[in-house]
Amino acid sequence: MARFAASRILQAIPTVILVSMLVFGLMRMAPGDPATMQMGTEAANPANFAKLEALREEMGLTKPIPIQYLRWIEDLAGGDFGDSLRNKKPTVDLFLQKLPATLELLLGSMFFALALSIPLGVLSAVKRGTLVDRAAMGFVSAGLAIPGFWLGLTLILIFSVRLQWLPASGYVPFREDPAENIRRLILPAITLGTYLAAALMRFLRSDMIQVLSADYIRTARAKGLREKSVIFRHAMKNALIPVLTVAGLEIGALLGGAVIIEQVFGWSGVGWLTVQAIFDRDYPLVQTSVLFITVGLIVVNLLTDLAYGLLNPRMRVS
Amino acid sequence: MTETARTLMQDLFAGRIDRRELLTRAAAAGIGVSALGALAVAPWKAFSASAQGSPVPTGDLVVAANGDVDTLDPHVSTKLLYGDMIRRPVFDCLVAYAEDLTYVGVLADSWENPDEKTYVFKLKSGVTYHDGTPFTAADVEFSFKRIVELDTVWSTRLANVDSYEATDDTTITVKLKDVQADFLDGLTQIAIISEAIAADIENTPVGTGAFKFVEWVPNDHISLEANTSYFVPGEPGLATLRFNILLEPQVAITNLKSGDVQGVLTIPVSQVAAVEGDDSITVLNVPTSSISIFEMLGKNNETIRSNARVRQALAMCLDKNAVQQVVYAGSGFPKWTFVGASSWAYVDVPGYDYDPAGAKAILEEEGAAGLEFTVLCITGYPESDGAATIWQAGLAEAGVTLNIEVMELSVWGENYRSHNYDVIWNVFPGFADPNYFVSLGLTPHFKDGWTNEEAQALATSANQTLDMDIRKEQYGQLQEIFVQDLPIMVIQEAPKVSLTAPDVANWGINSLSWVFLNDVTIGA
Repeated sequence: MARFAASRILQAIPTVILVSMLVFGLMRMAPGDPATMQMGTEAANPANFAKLEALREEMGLTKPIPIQYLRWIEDLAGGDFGDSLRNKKPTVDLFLQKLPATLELLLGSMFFALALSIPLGVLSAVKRGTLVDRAAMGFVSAGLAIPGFWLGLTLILIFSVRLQWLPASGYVPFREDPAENIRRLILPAITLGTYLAAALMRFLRSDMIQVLSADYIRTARAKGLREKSVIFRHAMKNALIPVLTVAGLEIGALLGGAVIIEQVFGWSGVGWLTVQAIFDRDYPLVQTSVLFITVGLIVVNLLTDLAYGLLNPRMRVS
Repeated sequence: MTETARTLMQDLFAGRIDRRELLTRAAAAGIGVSALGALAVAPWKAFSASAQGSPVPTGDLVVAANGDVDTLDPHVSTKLLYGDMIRRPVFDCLVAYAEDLTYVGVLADSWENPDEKTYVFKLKSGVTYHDGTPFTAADVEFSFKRIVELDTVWSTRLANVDSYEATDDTTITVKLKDVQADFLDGLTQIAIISEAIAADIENTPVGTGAFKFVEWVPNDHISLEANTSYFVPGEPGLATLRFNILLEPQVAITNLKSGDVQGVLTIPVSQVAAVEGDDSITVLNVPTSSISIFEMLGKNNETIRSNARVRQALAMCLDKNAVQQVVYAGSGFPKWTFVGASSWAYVDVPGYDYDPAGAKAILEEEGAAGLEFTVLCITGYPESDGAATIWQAGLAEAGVTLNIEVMELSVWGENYRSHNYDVIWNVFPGFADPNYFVSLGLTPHFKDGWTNEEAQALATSANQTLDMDIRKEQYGQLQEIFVQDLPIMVIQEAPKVSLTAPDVANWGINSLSWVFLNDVTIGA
């Protein structure tokens, strides 16, 4: 297992380097530049053209891209991720300041997705063809089709505007007020987790249906085991392994969805931070965010692989 | 006459009549545009339910803002939102706009001009910064010099200053190199800070304003609290003021409905229909002098750039009435000149009627039949491609093909700056002195194709005298030439829309689309 982990970590290094080159190069090749963005409409005033050039120089944008890239790598080696061009603060600080909110949102939505999809997926497979199954499949279709933006606003209208049960927006750090933090997490976690819940449920249902028709299940039933025991101890255990793997791999998709959900719920996390940085052409902040997110996803994928290996002995052998 | 004018303005703000109707009725009643303008510029003072600020600041107001600031330094930020959220609440300037957009003293008690190039400011005494430091004339000199040294865009406003002399703690004399009529206009946005504060101003903006800065969490919120020893009576009207950054208008509206925020700085006018008739929301739809325009002198289309008759023909293909109805939900004021309709300098130049057939004939005469060109619009500004689409339909009738390219703001900005376009859509925030638009919007075109020497001379001389009669006359002539030559086609003035909860009073919006929250109260 240690060798497997070590080899996966080694494989990840070229991925990180490639991503760093891509994000660095693509941002600079994209039209628009941070100096113009910072100056706003005044950048169009000929009286300010010299100031604009000076600002570009100050931002280090006038050197060739490969030189800029090597400088950046050199700084990274020294642990310096650079300062935001927009507000001059260290990009690492800005990223880490927003990270807890996004991690909470991801964990919350993952919890919601698993809590909903596992029982419903199993129930749907066991009660295949019944009204329960059809209702569950209806949820799957709706969950996959409904845009997160619309779902979020609808939930706000119902639970915040009409019923006034939950706040409509804003993030309160857990350490400041745990109860308020969770109250505010509920709606965004449900909104973000709905798509994943539907996807996992569909996956689990079909997996479970396959498992339930397998020979060893027929044998278990023939042995006279109770149906509960057949489903929970034999069928579900096997059907869940690939579901957990899929759930791990879906973290990346969740992060993509989080960008929208963060805006709907004023939940200021790294998704919003990164998108805003792209619009502002805040190169160092985009680079830091993308690098950290890349490393994070690689770690999650690695952990998923390791967990799969632990749960499935055949994988360990192979 | 004043009462009639006031009634007309009330009808306008209530949406009972539009801007054109207002001007027609006013003319019939013998009321001049300037008289209306005096009322138009400060609807929050003239017509809000309760115009008196609370004597003791109480109540907490949370406002949804459609963007974040980029820095806390008032001498660096150029964002309009910075003005609404930090500059006006936290800082003070020497002067500010009065209700009729003339100037009133804030930190300056008074000023005089011994000659046209010299300003002697007598400053208020007894004013202190939020940290208790007393405000003195040395701070004015320091602030002005800091801006020049930082060489930010605000330094352009002080480029004509020859010398400063702080004679004592409450007197400062500023000498200009040349006469500059809009010098005071620039000072309305130059915040005064002390040298001691400047060192950490990017983290802790300390001013003399109605609110003290508490914290800024980027992309999340800005918190302010009342400065209870503020020198303006009745301000602030709130104990705390917080701005939550909510980019999407629909999200801001749902937050207002749920009570999570009690005000929304701005929403697109196209969203107004969705909230009208909702008792839990007060809509403040205020006319402003902010203009949306098509700039016609890009370097990529010689036919348009070099021929004013062609530009006139293209203008005849824009159905401004349709733009107003479809893009601006019936709000705003279609016009042809760049000066705000409520300004002392405004001249109602007739412009061009919608007539694609007539345009087609002109284009044939000018050898430009079958013309094809591209207009650059900005993502996130539905009014840009909305107006372009309506223009496209009119142009098609005249046999002209218009391609519409919608692009990200930063990409658009580069094209705009390098004049890399045929025609480009743009929006100018409201301005009080016409020279703001002349220097920022017109002067660049004198260098790239608009070779009208008379216009160029007028643009310069109108800002080089303090005689308002001469300025008015010269800007009047400039507007006539501007509409004749059409280096820029003005589409219309755009309204500013804020939303509040019903118990919010004194929310101010001026005709420059600036929001004023210093004397806002809640729950009174």
